[in-house]
Amino acid sequence: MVAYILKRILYMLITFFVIVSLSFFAMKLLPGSPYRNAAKLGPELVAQLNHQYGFDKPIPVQYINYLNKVLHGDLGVSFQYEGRTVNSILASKVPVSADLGIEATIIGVLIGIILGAIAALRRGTWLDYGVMVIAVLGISVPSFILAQLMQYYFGVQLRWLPVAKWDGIESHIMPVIALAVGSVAVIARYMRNEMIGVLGSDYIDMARAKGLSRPAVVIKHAMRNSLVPIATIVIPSLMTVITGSLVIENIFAIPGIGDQFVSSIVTNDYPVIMGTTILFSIFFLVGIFLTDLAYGVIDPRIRVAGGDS
Amino acid sequence: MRGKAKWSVLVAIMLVMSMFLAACSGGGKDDSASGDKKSGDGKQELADKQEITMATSQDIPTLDSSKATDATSFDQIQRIHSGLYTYYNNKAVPDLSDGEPKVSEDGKTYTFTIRDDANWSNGDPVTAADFVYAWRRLTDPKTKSQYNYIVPTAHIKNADKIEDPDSDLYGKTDQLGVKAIDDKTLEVTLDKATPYFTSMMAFASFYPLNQKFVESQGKQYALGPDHILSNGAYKLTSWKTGESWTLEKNPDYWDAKNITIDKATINVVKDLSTRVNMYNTDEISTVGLSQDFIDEYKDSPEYNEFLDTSVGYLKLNENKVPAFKNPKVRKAIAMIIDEQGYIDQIRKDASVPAQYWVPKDFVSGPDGKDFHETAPASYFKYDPDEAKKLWAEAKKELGQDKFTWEYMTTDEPQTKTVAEYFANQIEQLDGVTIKINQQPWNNYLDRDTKGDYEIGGGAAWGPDYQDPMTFLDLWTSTNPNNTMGYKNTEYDKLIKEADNLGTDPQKRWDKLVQAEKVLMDDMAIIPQFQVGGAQLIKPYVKGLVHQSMGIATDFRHAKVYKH
Amino acid sequence: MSGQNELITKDMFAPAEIDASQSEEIRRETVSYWKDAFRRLRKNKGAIAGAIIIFIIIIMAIIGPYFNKYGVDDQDIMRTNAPPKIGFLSNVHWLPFDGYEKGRDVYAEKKITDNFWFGTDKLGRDQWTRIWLGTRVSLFIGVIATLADLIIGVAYGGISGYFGGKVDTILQRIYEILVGIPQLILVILLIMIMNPGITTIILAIGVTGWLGMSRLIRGQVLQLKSLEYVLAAKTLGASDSRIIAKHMVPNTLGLIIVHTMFSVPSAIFFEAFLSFIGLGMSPPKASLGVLIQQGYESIQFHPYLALYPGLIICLLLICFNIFGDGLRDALDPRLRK
Repeated sequence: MVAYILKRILYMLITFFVIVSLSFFAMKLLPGSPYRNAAKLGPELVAQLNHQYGFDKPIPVQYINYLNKVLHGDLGVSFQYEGRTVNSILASKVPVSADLGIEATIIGVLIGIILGAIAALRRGTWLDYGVMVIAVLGISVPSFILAQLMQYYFGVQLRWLPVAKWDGIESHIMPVIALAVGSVAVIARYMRNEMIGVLGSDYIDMARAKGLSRPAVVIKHAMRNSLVPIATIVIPSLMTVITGSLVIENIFAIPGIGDQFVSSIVTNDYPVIMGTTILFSIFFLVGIFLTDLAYGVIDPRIRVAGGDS
Repeated sequence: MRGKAKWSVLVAIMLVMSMFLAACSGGGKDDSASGDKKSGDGKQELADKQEITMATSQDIPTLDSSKATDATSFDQIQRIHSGLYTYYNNKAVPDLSDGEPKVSEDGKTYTFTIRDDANWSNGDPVTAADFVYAWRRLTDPKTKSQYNYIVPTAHIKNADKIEDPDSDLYGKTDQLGVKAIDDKTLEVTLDKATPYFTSMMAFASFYPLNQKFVESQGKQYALGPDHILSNGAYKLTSWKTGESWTLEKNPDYWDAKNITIDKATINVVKDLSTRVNMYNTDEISTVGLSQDFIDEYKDSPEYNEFLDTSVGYLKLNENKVPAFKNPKVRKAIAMIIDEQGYIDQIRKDASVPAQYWVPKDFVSGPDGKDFHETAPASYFKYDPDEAKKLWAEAKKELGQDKFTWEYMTTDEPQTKTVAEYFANQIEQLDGVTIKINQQPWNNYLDRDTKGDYEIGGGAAWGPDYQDPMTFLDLWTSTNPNNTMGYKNTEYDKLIKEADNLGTDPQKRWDKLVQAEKVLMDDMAIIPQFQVGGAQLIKPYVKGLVHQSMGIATDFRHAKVYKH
Repeated sequence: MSGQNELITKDMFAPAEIDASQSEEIRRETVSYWKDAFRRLRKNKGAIAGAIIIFIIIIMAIIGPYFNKYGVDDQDIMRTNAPPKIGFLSNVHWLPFDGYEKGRDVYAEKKITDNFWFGTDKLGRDQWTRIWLGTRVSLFIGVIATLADLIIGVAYGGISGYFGGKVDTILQRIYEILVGIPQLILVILLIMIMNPGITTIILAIGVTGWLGMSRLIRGQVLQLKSLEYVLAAKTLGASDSRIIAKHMVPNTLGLIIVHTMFSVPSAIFFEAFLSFIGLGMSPPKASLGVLIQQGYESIQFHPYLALYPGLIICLLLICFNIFGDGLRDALDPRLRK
């Protein structure tokens, strides 16, 4: 097991390096310059600035220089927000997005698992159909529409909750719900699907025959065995929620990284693009690694360790 | 004319940016400002808390006046810092300058006296040396300012050479034509007489900086309330990046007695409907509106409108589409588009069809009259019949029947609607098919610069200083903004002559009027509309003014009444 | 029954042909699996109803745009933002088809004589035509997404999970790289080299749309691989292709169907996002996703703009789901009785 983990960590480092390198070269292919005032600067001024910033050097040279800086913990300074270091931008924005994303994912996964299990156990009843309708609405009604409707009714009409801003627990309620609805829908559907399969298995009949109580069977056997696909999608969906919640962040004026990342790409803010990519790929690789390990915990029979070889 | 981008004070902003300008701007035609000097005329009493809150769609990119380039940054810098001049009601008036400067006979030397009561918030007096430092810092290539071309635009001596890598003077900022005669006397030398020079002194890039403080802060300068000094009406007291910032009244500002608002909080809120919802729940005091929101609120007493000074336009690239070389084609396109219909039915704000290139209500001539009182108020009109007639003739001349043109625009939702509308209008010309190509802003700029487009329709132009030249010099044949291959020697000549007539303002003015006529007779570009805006202001906030020059949302003379 | 006891003689029996290899083989009758599945699907009334509604929507996407005289880009700014109005329903005011908005007869105010069944947008274009044309685009995108999922995603995940070892290691690293590089950068690069349109959409979905599916299938296959009956089949000498076809595929079908249901709407909204940055269908063409996005901008004032395209997406997905569930129940070997 230790050997497997070490091997995986080595792979992670290689993959990480490839992601960072490919992102760097892809980013350099983006048209235009990172200058905020590019619309007013003529080609000559852009060339001068490029010289000042070292962007006129060959891309491999820039790449080596960049790697060298990153190894020393220096992610550079933003162009969008003149003078702000990428480190300080990430430090102020990522925690907010992570907070939002984790809250939404936890709520989404918990409710999703429960709803999915109920639907599977009460298959073919109105409960089941109810869950399915929620699931369909959850994925086909875009979160931005839900967010805006909630904001209008609960924020403006009823004045129960603050319209926007990320300030105190009551301001978390609407954005978290708006984001979690999608997760609830997805998780509930997978859960229902898996549970139905598992409930039909012989070992469930067996367990019942052995005299185990129904709740015990459901929790110990059925639910646990249904968690593999859930584990597979939770990490990527957490990542999507953190990086892709820019619409929700915009609607509720939450100072997160989602919008920052998109605008850094659109404005060619090279240091911020790379800094964010580096951070996210670390999260992501670790997340995938943990998922693979989790398979073994959820279902001890699974061995990702690649015993075949 | 001068062939350098430094000279082109070109502001290409996406239309949505103009929406944003509207969104973060305050009261327009305010009729109560003058009547409010005395607090309350029996009915209204000043509120105990003189606080206002606003929302803008963007965090401050920078508070470093040498590096700022955008409206949000400039607005905040002008609230925190003061310069020689400032804009009040779209007019440049002396601020730290003690009265008007002395100007030499040849118009090339300006001597400013700085007010005795002008101080920094750390107690230092504002001196002439602070200006010298700031201007040298702005010009210095090492600062990497993206706005340093404004110094040669003001014709300050040697500025163009200091910024030109091929010149002997490159980087030698001590050669800049600005000198501190003594602590309170500043002497500026220009390369040539520049009639709009004093109005440029209201531009935030020319504001002074406290050398000792800036250098002691190093890389941290202007990154937070503790890293910036104030010499203006307000002090920055907090700045939560990406979230909000707070300004509080600066009691040491020389004109502090006329400033009523004690505290202003500005929130970063990107979504328009969220901003409107915040306005409706009294979380902000003013909000800009667009499209459907205008329909909804236009009958409200809190509704205000204003006209700005940027102009939306279409570029027809003659290098890519030979047909665009034919003036009849350009005129037919200009006349087939129903701009008024667009403004009334889709845009719905105070924009007006631009049948000219230099905006109206922007600048007055030496005779005190608006540019368009001297120049015609309209060079062309929406006239589909005439357009179709011209088009039929043009087609005969071209010997071609079917045309497919690509209309390049940006990827903002608003510009998309605009593009769909204008494309549809142009397609009313028989045999024309328009393909819309939406590009992210950077791609758009890149292709615009390279001349890689057929019809360019994603940009609007706004002025940097208060003179028609800021619009007119864009389309000379050597200007880098002229990527559509327009060339008229008469136009080039008129602009060049006007630029050298600094000592004879009236003659210069006439040349500029003639130049616009040449441009419009050629239909070199197709102006569409002069951008306007609309916003709501809470009835208890008076004197919040929208300015098209200077601070866009100016609350320096605003007051909050009991409500 | 009666005591007629026939004599049973030895010659009435013939020795059975016993093939040692066949006796080891444990299998059901081959045809019965699919036959059985189809029989069960047909019995599921909900599934059949779902299939019929999907069929109707497809037909409407084909013929709907020709029900009136308006084209996709017939603008008229004198009839902007008209709410839905259907002639024979216009006096039934509790239905949203009377041409009234906030108690005002918009048709009378703007002097519009024609009826627009789904209303008009802010450029005065007929929403009915645009919605059905948009449905066409979105259905097509749904099909593309499904194909990407089924062809690339399932195969990729299946191979990775089933063969494990080095194959899995390499395929998973490629997966990680594809997910790790910011999609938006790739998409903007695509815009630079390609023209907006169907090909670009297919490519964009083809590059990334199947990643989620492949990961799920891999997880499921890893789990299945270690189950006793698979081990048993393996021990008994069943070939890889046989195990995949007989055990892996039927047991992952449910998951595939459920995941497809999620990738279809996300592909539809992905296309809307692509259109947003200029890579999707170029305007004035629109998809349901784009129509919803545009409707969202004025949802407080003209909710019908987002409502009808939204309803069609919901209806499509609900039916697709019911049908998919029926299919899943029919195909899941564990549910066979």
